Amino acid sequence: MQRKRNMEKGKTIILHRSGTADGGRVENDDPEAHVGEGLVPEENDASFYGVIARLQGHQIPAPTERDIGIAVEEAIRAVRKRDAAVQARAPFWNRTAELLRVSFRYADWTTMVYSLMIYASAYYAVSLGATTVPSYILLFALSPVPTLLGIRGFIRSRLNGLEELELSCKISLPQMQAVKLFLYSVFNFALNTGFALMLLRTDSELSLQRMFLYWCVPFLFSSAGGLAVAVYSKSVYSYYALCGAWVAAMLCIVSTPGMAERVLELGTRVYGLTSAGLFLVMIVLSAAAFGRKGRIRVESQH
Amino acid sequence: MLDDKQLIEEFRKGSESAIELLIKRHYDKVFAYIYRSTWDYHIACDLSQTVFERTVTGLGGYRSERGAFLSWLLTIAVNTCRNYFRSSAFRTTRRQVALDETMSADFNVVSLLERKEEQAIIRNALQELPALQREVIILRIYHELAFKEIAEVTGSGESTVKSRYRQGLSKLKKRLERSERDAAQEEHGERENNHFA
Repeated sequence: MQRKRNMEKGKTIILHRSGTADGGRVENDDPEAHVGEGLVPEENDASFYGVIARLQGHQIPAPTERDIGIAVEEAIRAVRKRDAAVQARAPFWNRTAELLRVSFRYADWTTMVYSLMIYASAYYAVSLGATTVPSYILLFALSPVPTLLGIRGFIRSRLNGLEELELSCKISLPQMQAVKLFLYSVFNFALNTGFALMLLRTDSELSLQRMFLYWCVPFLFSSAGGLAVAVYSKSVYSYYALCGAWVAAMLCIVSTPGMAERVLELGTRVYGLTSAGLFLVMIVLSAAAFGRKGRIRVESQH
Repeated sequence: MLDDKQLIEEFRKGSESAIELLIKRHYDKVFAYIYRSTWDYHIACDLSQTVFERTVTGLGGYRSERGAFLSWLLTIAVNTCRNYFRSSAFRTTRRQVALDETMSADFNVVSLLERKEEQAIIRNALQELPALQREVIILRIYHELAFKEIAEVTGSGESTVKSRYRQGLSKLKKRLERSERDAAQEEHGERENNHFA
């Protein structure tokens, strides 16, 4: 330690900050040396030199080989334990990735385009003032449409032989339906949010928070109902019944004088609680669908 | 000889001997930091072990672009010590440690006693420092890290680190001077007692 030796000799030392990675310091024996910008002012105080030198002279015990060996063993054991946990989780993530891949491959993209067109038409009608339906009700009525259309797509594909797919891979039909419904729900969520924001642009008196609550209930209703129909009922008539119920309810709201106002005046707490309840139902249905293995299981041919 | 970066790569490929080399290379530094923070050999060993367990299990998240491996290791050591000082284990069992183990064999009895006394004075002075100032002093003086690196390791700003360092040194200076005064007075008192006797 050159620095320490110099300190002990009582030399004037000016410490520089070199800017190197290890904070290397340049020692200078010239007492007249200019104290410039690159110095370390915290150390360039002669009164501290003695303290620093004494501290540097302080010794501590060295760890024994045995203690180092224990640390190595424990570290290796910790790594093995972590690797074992990762390997145990791997099948779950592999299966989920496979599910998503298959779902994307078999998703009905044309249905999504139809949904987009319906929303665009509705927005066009609102922006031209061609509709007398309040914006909140319009959003309320349209919000489950993408999911309902999506469900129609995969009920139809099931009828057109989606079961064949089940024969060729590890994924069961209910599992794939659940994941596909999740994809449609994400798309529906994005579409509703976008539509609400567009409506906000046309009418600044609308509240984004209220709009969110109004579209959440039907959206979750359609998702939960769709999931139940697609996974449990397996009947296309159940699907038509679900859609029919929604259309009838909407017609009733729009055509009955004062009904729209009453629906809108239900209060945020009612909407919030209903949304939360529907969300829970959906979670339970999804979990149950994920746990179902399907009727036919054959090892992957891919 | 493989550097830290290469050893980490080897470890990521699944080599267990890379872990062993990494630990053996850096154990002393981590142990020294923790020992100077806790002043207990056994606790320092336990905490060093914890540091290395956390290091190797989290090595996947280490990026060499962010800084030297040793700095990362010291960051984990600093956080482990902080957790220890917050733990109930520390609060309930503060142990006084004998200094015998710090002594080396190449001293005669008088110099050994003097050295023992000096070690005790420095240890007490460091122990009395506030934890944040002690961290900076240890990292700067014993590990020779630049202030910028200390700032990264402790998660503080560079100017804060410098200020802590200066304040810490001032306190240490005062405490060491006070210890010397006390020792001198004690010696003077003993001489007077002997004289009167």
